[in-house]
Amino acid sequence: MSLQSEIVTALSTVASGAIYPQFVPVDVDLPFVVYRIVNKDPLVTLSDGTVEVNTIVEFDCYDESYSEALTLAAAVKTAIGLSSLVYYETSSPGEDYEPIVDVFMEPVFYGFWHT
Amino acid sequence: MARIGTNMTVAVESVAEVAYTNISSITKADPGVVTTATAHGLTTGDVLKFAASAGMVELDGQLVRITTSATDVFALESLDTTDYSTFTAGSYQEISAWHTLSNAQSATMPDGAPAKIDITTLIDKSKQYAYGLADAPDGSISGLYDPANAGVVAIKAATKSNSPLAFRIAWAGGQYTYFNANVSGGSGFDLAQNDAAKSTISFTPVKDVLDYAT
Repeated sequence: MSLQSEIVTALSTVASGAIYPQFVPVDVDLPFVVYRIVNKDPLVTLSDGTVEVNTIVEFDCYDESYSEALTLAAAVKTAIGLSSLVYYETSSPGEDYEPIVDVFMEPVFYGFWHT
Repeated sequence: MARIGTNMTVAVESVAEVAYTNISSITKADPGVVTTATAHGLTTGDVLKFAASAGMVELDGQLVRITTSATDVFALESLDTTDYSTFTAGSYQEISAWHTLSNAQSATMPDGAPAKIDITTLIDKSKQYAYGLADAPDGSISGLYDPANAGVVAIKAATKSNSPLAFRIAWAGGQYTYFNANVSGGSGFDLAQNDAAKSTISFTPVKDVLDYAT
């Protein structure tokens, strides 16, 4: 199972399953989560065998209010914590607000070790 | 051609066959040539570990690849025995299988520094030195902590029994490096938050490190 499919499975109960890779389709209702891989760091050996990969994933949690965005981000963290993924939370650039569409976004960054 | 640290393997001995004492003679030549009293059963490219407690003691613990020319004769590839002591008795074991250290990520084996001998006399105005024998190169292999790796298990056992272990480095360009070494490792590890656990194996070669172009 790929990391992406494991992430989708882990977050299946978050935002009623509104989890999207890279970008959100048009006219999707809030709340939703958009995830993207921001870095891949393979763990290699002299024999060139990639043993595992350390992948950093950004989860952008969108909702109508600041507090709801924070709650959604907390739900993402809880879901990842309950999953079988090998994870760690890493530094995040902080929250955002999209004034044009009046949407709040709370980013969450996680590192995952996987094969 | 540069040797690149990728698509290569570092391995340690897995199987050392029974020791044979059927050596009749070893020439003092480049390369040394071994004659056996009975058919040796070896083939070109086999790797042998020698033991010699008397006579040609320079060969004791040496790992060397061979080329065979007759059923009772083989040459010690790239090993110059010209200045060695005269052979009296000894044995050899074929290293017939290897454990790959698939967890290895880096290896280092810098040449040892020569002994600096002070030869200053009373009339000298500055210190004068001569170089003595160099230290054996101290090496280490760093990699992922994998105590279940068969090579690591072999190193741990050799550490415990204080026995040298044969090493083979197979380079990406097709070259091979062979040496026999005292080893230490297989138990310890380094661990940092959110990172893979690492370990380091230390070794010091016994006798010559031999490199083969193919």
